[in-house]
Amino acid sequence: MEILRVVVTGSVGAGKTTFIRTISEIEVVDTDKRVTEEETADIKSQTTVAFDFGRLNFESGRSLHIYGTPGQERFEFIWDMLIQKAHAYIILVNAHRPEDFRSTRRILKFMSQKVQIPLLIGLTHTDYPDAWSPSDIAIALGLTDESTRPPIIAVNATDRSSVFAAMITLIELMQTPMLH
Amino acid sequence: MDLGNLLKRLKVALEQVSTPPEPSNPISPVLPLEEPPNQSPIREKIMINASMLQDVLQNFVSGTSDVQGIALVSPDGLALASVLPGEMDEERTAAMSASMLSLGERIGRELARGSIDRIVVEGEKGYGVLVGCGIDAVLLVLASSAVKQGILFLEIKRIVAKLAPLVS
Repeated sequence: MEILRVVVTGSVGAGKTTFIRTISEIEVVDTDKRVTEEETADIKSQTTVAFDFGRLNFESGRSLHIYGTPGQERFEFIWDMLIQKAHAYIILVNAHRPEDFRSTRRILKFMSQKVQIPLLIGLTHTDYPDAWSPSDIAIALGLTDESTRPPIIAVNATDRSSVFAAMITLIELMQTPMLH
Repeated sequence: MDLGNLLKRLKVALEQVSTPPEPSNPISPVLPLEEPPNQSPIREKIMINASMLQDVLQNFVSGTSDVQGIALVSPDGLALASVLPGEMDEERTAAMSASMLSLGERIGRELARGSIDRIVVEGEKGYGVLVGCGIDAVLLVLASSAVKQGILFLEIKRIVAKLAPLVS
């Protein structure tokens, strides 16, 4: 059986757990705990403390395994564990929380130092009126060179077809030789 | 890796996802704020008891032979109080403790082991034991390999009984 491992990462409240719950065909293995940090409690009540795991099986015997990381930097040992075995990854960015871009940038840096694998940037919450545009977010994340930067697409983590479309884009990336 | 096939199947799967086109109904906020912020009674109580917690932990480490360190952390991985060997980073240890207990509990549930009493990591140089301490805290105890396991578990049970009321 061939297993393709995809990691979904990003800052707190970007929609990683939701993304995996939306795409997985099995009941997602999650490790959500109640939030005690005040700045996080304003955004959501539960947070991932180890990882989320979802799966999609295909008749051919292939299997897509999707792992979601915690968003907080104190869990970087989990980021490391998961990314080392990944074939590709998605960074989710909450487009209307510019205060999180710095932490997203740190995640991006952490991951790209560890691995050189296909990457997709998914923008969530783009329906908010104050959401940033993809090009502005690219600049905020330090991805200024358009020719080498990873694709940036909008994702609605609660919508199955949107999440599938993101996954297809990622797999298409894996078929093309890497530019960076 | 032959991805073409997989891609085809994903695309088929996508087509089968018969989500009706999103009507332009009023968009409900994706992240509803369920509770008004500033509701953190736990934190306030912890602040009141912080020095008391620290004392209890300090007494435990100095009063129990072969115990090398202890940390009390929130279920989402933030340190509440700790007495740790010098080379250990409190923030990192706290996050690891929360991950390990949460994952252990989840594995216990998936593998039908019932409710989990403790998670034990046994290494060449000693033990790391994790237990829940009320619903608002997780306790990590580090002990050297010389420790008698029965005594260790008993002492942990006692200190949990002492700490749980302070954090609940």
